[in-house]
Amino acid sequence: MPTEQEFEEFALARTPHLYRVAWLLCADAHRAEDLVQETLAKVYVRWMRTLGRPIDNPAAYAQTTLVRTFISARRRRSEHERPTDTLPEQGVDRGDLDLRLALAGALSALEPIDRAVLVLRFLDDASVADTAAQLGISQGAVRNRTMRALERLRTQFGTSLPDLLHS
Amino acid sequence: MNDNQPGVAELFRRATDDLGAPVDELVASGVTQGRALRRRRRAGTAVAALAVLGVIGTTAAVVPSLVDRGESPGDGVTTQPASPSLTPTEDPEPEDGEPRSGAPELTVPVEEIPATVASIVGREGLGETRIDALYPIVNHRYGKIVHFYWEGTLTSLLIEPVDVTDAKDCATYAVEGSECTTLADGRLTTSFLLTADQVTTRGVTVWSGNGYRVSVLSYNAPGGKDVAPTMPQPPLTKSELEAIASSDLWYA
Repeated sequence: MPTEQEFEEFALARTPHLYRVAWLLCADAHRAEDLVQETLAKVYVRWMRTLGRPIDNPAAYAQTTLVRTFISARRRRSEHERPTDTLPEQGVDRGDLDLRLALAGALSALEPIDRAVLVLRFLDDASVADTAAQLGISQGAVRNRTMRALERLRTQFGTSLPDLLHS
Repeated sequence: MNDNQPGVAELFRRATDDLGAPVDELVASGVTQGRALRRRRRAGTAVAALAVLGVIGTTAAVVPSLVDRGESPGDGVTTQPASPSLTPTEDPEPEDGEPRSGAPELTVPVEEIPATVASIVGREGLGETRIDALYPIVNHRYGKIVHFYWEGTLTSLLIEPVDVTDAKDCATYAVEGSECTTLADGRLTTSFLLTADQVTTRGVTVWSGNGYRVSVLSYNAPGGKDVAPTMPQPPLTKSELEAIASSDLWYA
């Protein structure tokens, strides 16, 4: 019988990583929090089912739920990206703040699914096949989107990327 | 490492290393939202029934308790509008409501329900299954709705999950003016005969005792409302409807 305590233990352990992914997808702290909450709620419902099999791999299930929730929400709302001119984080050093500002701006210029491709491949080190499976697209589409998104990211950052990384 | 883009991976990691996620608050909010979502999904199939019955004149009398739940009619509904096929739409991540613990899954394929009804009734009369935008099929693991013709008139069968006790569910579900009574085998039932919008409807609901309620409605017209009756009374009798609703074939 699934218990709420087990779910909370899982969620407490997994939320930091989900939040990192959500922040990169949303490029905005408040949206990232909303996305993580929605994801946890969906996983909770699945977790607490009294009938049927338990989730085979809760971490992977939560990750896929988060990415798909992000993409479907963007499709549903047809949202326009908002450039981020302020960041809510406090107490971080200036180098990291500049880095986040620059990255948030660059990611905001990408299509949501391209952002998801980059995050899965470069934050999670997911293979092309795994990325394709999580996003429900072909492996060829993952490769094409990776190339296109990287090119755009380079264009956005210009020559400032090495400086940011080493600041 | 993917491709030859260590800079991107490092960039992502550096940017998110010290984000300081409010983990406790996020988990608490996620659990709260999850509980609410779970409650909504439990009610989903019942609300689907309401959405279907919305085209039927006796709706308000049949399911008054559901009207007050304030749920979106779309929650948890799988429909096949305007499709000639009876092939169920499979949902890889079902969002249906669930019956109470210990209830079996509904194993009867939705497309076999009309023929099963005919076998229970044991006489001629079965016609085509009706599938259109007004009368969609619902095909969940824990809920089924199908409409078909019997002697040229509409018949609706609804199997819905119950996540409270049968007595409590019956008390809120029974049509105003009718009562919850007990069948010979001890199961709860309620019935009605109502005329609204020209159409007379006879309905019987039986609580299965294992986490479901089964409702069968027979009309004296080819549609649920605003169509001319083709016979004085619904063709399926109360005892036939009871036999259908109390059958164990839905869980076999």
